[in-house]
Amino acid sequence: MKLGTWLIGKITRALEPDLQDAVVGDVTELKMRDSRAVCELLGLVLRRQASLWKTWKPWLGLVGIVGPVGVFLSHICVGVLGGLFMQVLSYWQFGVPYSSGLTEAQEIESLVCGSLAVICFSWVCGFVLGTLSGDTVYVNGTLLCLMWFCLCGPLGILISLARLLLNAVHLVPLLLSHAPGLVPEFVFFAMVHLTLVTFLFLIPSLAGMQWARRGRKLGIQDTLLLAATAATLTVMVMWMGGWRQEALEKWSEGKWNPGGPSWQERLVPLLVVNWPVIYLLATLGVQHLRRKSKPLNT
Amino acid sequence: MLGEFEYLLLAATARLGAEAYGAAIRLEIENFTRRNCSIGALYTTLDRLEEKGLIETWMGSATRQRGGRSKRMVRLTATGIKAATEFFQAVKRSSIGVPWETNRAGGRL
Repeated sequence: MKLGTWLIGKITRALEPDLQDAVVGDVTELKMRDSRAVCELLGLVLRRQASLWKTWKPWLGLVGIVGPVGVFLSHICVGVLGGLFMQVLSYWQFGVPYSSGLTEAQEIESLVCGSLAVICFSWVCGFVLGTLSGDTVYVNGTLLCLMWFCLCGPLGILISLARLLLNAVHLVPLLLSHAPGLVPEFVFFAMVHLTLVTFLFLIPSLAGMQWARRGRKLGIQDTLLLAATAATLTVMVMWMGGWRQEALEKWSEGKWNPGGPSWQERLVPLLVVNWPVIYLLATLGVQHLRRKSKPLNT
Repeated sequence: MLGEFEYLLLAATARLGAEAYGAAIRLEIENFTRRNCSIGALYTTLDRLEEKGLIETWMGSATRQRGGRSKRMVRLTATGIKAATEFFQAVKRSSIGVPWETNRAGGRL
């Protein structure tokens, strides 16, 4: 297949099936050169995308979800990931669980709860983004994925590594002397990190967007169940967030208080990532009120 | 009030009658304006005019000439004819006495 024909096929996929048929038919009938057809079709797709941004909803998706929710969710995800990653590392290197001062039960509870919370918030974030964005979901979804890529995805890993090395510059010569041997280990851990973050954040948010794109809606029961789950997970994550601080204080017999955020400070990012759930509840409330105010046809 | 390109599109549709569809309208506009008309401008304007209720569109038959693809057929509505007539009258009225008016002697450009 020629590159031009392939490109035309790819570009027109962004259009509705009927319009795809009409414009590709026009290009064939007018015997347009492939390069010109590609330019004109790109122009059409861009114009149509631009016209979709005339309403407020895609902007709310961009400013409200891709921005703050994307940033805070990535931040929470990296926090949970740190705990999971240390466990994988410890098991792989020494065959024992990593102890951060918490009991084994507490460690498991906090990891399971944190992972479930990130998965739940990511799905809701994707679903509400898909609902708000409509056909602009390709732009908003790509931006959310870019956020993931930069904050906790592949680029995020490199940034974390660079920060780690900057904090321990004296170790750099030592690491470089062992570099050939460390490469396979680094690749392995980068892959583990990437797999975990993909399962926690990327897949659930893309699944939520896909769900919304297919026009599926949440009923009253589903929305209430989702809101209750999100609220429970928020409270649990906030509560468990203080465990490590307490454990360190207890371990040092009160001599060392590592500080760390208060429960109010831990609540703020969780509230931000919860606003899509609040949006779903508000939409449900508005629909309910409209249905109530509609006169009955007898 | 219509825009210039919107009027050109309505005029081409009216002239083509039952044969008005994307590629034919494009050729018609390019022929009488001697300007390029892109697919993007054409279909975005068709969408806008349809939203305003000035035209109706539907998917027509597929032909071999088009690689088996259907045409997007276009028809003017009564509102469309009225809007085009008003635009034309307004241009005609506003053109009286202007230097570029046809056959007007002594006009200075």
